[in-house]
Amino acid sequence: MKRTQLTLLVVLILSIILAGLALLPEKRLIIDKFSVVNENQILLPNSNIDANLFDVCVLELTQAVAYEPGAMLFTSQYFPQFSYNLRFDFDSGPANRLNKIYIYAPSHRAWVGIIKDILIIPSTNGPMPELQRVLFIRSNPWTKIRALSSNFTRYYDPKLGSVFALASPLFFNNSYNVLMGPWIWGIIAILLAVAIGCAIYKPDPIIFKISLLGFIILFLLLWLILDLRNNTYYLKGMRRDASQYWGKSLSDKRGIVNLSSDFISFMRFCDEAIPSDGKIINYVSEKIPGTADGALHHTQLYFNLRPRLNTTKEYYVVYGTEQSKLEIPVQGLKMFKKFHDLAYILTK
Amino acid sequence: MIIKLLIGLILPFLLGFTILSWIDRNKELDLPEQTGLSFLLGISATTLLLFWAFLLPLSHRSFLVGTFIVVFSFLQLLLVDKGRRIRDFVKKCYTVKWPVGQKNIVVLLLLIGLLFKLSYVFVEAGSKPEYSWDASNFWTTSAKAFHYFDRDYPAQALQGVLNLKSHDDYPRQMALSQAWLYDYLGEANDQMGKLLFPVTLVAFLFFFYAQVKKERAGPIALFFCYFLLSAPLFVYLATVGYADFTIAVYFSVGILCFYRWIREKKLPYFWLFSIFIALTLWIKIEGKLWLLLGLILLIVYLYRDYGRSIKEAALKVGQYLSAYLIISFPWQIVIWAYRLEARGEFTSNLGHFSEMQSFIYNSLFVQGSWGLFWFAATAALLVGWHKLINRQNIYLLLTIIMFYGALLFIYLFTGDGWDSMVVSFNRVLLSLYPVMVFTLAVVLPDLNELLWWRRKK
Repeated sequence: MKRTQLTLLVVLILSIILAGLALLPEKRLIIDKFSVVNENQILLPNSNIDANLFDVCVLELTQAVAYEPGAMLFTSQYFPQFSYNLRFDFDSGPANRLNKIYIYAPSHRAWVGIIKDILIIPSTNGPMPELQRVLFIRSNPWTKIRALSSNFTRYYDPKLGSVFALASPLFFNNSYNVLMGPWIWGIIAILLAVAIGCAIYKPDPIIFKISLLGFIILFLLLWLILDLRNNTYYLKGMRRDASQYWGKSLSDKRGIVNLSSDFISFMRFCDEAIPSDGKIINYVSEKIPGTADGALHHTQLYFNLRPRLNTTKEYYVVYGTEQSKLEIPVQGLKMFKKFHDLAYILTK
Repeated sequence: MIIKLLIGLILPFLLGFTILSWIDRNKELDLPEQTGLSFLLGISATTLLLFWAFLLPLSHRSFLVGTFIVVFSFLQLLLVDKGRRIRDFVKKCYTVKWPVGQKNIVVLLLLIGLLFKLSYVFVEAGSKPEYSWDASNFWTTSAKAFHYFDRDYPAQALQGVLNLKSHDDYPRQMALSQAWLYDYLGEANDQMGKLLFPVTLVAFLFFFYAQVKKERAGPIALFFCYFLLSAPLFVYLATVGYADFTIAVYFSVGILCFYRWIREKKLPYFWLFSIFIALTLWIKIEGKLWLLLGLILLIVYLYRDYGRSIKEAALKVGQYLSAYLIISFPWQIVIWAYRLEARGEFTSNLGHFSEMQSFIYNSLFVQGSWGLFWFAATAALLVGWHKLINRQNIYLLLTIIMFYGALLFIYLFTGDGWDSMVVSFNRVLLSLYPVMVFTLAVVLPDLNELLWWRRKK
């Protein structure tokens, strides 16, 4: 048999196996009663789900969401507070026609025993999408792969922002990847200890070589898996960039990265209204719904406005607060230009 | 737009190439080193020229500096050097041996992997405008001010920028390099300006490859280049315009040049070491500590291994400090003359010492977005300690220890200490990362050495 034919045969067999995996039966639990709390959270009270029976959660939305990170939090008999398992669970990626979001529940170390209240955050940045129902599934391998592929682990620095990348694995208590059971780290630790011992005491070069070789091979294996996952994120990142940014104007892009195109339009309005030697006073609210905390106030106002010499009249640039609710001494200040009720410029 | 951007990138390369032709008169640098260093050196030199121009009553400064670069390079490369350097460079480019020619599938995969990661860096950086906190708030706002004030209020330009009151005393390479590109682009386009960082990464990769190649075989050097790009934080910071990435590149080039100087005793590496370490102080304020670190390294080497007269050793220290005087001292004078608010007050955070150690452990091994790197680094240092303490490699170890000490010093005794550690530790640590990858390349044994059954045959 020629090599090409053999390759085709292998591909065919693998495809049949994969398709077969998708057809394996699954046990499903459907929940369609829940309540919306705190604007962007959905509560499934007292769900009493056995974590040993169900491993994948599927959120079925009425409309698709695109590029939204979200999370699933829960309480259980061992973990009575939601905060025990706070993490990003998924990144919806580009909008798909099925409007489904998969979450691999055992990624949470706390997913054990009987799960009580479940709190779902279907979107972190944008407005909350409407939820049709929630499925808990005892998954077949196909669904499991699907849920694992949307698993989203990322580094978060409160000021640096989200890093679209992996965190390091824990040494002996790795929870987020089934490929990295504690046993691998146990073997690695033993091999490393032997290699270090041999490097110091030099009893037998072969023991040293075997242990070090074993360590390097295992390490490379783990590193390759992590790097592959990382590259997958990069691939997703490039797709995201292409679909979200390419072909758009710089202003539109500024609106997307700041999560507020209205703010960017207001900045253009201010640039035209305020003279080039005017002094700008920053009254952009630190809490603008849907944007990162303080980002517009601290970084984006001066950054998006044309720099000015700040030598003459003062202009108070207000964004996100109605004039009647301003917490500044407004006596003597009058409206200079108005963009809308929450965006305007005051002056003396 | 692309052509304007290319002009803005090629002119610094030309300047760097010309300066290198002075430093490396005997043509001792390899082609990848020459290529990478020309850009890194050139962009810094360009920002220094631009800064000096801002001290004078001029306008359209970028174009004046550009004209100067063209004339200066023409005089040096074509009239004084009679085109020999350029011919030599082109000849080297034609005769370069690409690792792909070895028909090694691993090499091919590594090259594809490298190109993939670099593609991500370029796409991510070039697809969207600046949005990250420090880059927006400090460098890019300041860059826009340099660009607009030079055009609209040339006489008050520097004063106008300093009036922004955003990190007043911070060095200005980041802002001026962006402003330089804006001037050539004809608009303050921070999205295009951000492409400077991927280009810096490529230039650094050329240099890094050349350094590892001098220690290991070509495919292994390629592997370590890929390994360098496998830490998520390093790649991420190359896309968002943070100064931590740039200072990491310059600090690493400085330290690797020091290592090369003590290994090969070639003078150009000493000058490059001095210049690049001094340039860290033109990028970020912690460059002060890296300047001190470089000085201690130099003094230890001169005392322990240099083997020449005290006069010659003192001359070396003088030459090292002269690089600092030329590069960073003018900015210190501006800080003093304009009475800018200087930070770095001493405080004591000793009460947080144990918390800091716990935080460092957590950042390195658990949550710091470093992948497996620090685990690998710790293992390699322990296993390869006998290689690490040899006559020359000990300076890499000394760098690592001093860097750790400097980090602790920053957080224990300056500024916001503990609070700022939570925000910035990983980013400051980034400066050591390429040096650490290089150390791994030096101390790890060849896989062939470990295949014990092969030797029996």
